[in-house]
Amino acid sequence: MIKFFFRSNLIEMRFSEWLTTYRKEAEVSQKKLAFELEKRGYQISDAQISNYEREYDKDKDGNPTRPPERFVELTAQILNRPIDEARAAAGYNSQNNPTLPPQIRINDFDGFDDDDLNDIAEYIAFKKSQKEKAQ
Amino acid sequence: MMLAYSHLKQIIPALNERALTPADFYNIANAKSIDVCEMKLKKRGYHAFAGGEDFVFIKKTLRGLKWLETAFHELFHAATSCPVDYLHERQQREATALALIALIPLAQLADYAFLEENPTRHAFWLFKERQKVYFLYGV
Repeated sequence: MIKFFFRSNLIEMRFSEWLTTYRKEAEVSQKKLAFELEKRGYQISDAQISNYEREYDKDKDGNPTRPPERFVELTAQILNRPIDEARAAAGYNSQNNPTLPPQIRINDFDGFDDDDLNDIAEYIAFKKSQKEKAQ
Repeated sequence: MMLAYSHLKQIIPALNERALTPADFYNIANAKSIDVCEMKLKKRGYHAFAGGEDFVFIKKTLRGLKWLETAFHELFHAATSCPVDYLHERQQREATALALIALIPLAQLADYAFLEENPTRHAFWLFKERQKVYFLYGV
């Protein structure tokens, strides 16, 4: 399982560091960030943002818990940072997921998952082959 | 948003007149030749566009309002979206708003009938979101 402290070649930063650094750079307080997130339909308190920055919440192995994808993506938007950079820092895959063939365009409901995307690609390929056979 | 709403209203005259049901969902999907697949997923749903065809994927274990919400959200992506690259915030919000309209028509918003029929926390959250849609777009 990819952990919260996962480092990719896109960014050499933990999500907590990423959030603190770019939030301060954008001169956005935790309270203001919570307010902006709420405006975009994501309910969160400034205390929870502080928890993410301090890596306060830990999983059963003692690793910091990963913030939800939606929070990561919306925060990147608010702080004017590339979404892929934020996702990489939080240990999520890039949105331009290499596991999905480029001819498939996809919209999600509540984020993407690698296994789901593989299953979807397989299903579409199967349907396509069935269609070709029928012709 | 309003353009998408008018477009959908032409396809689904019952939209915002009564709460849409799973039967409506399948009728619309059939009429628009959208391939619907309920499968084992970790996330709730996806809409995919490949080779000129639309696909809607719904998590197999979803039931009730969550199923309807996900199904209509993804269906409206298929019905209103041109194929775009990954997550597109505006289209996401549009699909969510339209799914809320499908679940809670204006009449049920006014008399709170929806909450009486569905006394759950998730229903309450949906109702609040639906109120926001009405406040923003007047539908």
